[in-house]
Amino acid sequence: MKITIKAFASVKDLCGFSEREFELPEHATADDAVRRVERECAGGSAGIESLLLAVNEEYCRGDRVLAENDILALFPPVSGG
Amino acid sequence: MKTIRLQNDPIDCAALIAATGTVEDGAVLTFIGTPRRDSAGRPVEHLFYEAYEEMAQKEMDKIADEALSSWPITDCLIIHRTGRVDPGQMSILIAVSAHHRDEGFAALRFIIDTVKKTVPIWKKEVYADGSEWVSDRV
Repeated sequence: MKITIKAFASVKDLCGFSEREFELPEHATADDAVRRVERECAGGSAGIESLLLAVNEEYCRGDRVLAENDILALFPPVSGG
Repeated sequence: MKTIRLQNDPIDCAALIAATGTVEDGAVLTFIGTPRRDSAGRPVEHLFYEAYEEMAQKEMDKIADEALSSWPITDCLIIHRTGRVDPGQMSILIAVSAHHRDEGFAALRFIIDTVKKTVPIWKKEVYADGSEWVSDRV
């Protein structure tokens, strides 16, 4: 299935993209997608620490099962205000 | 009334505050966030705010809805800057109006504390010799 991954702030710098499409197996979870990004884009490192996740603009946990056309966002702890 | 938005332009504080509140209200309370010049001894030239705009808008909406349903406030305004913000400029303006000030103060405190916890916006400090995402130090 095809999903879109968005990355923000320091996670974007680490991954080297702000938005990219990925092909993942059916029933893949958000954690599976993160491992794929770490392997392919972040030099294989588990450098994405304290990562926050959102699917379709709502916060979620790593065990969230993804569906076709989902938008998964990866970002560090927020620091607005 | 609820006014919630992200904007790249400077915040016109006076006009926004003047438009907040009704004749029934006894108080308009505001919180203004401003970048500090000094970051742990390192001078900050300016900040750069990046937002996940669609989600940030939704999260700010949720916070305003919760404030409006938890305290007897009339108006709720949250404006957050994106892009470059210089020291001395405003990065965020929050305003609430209420019949009585105690409820207004409580709602205001809840809004800024929650914005800082849940709204997907990140600040980068830019120095003369580099830059750093503030979230990197958390």
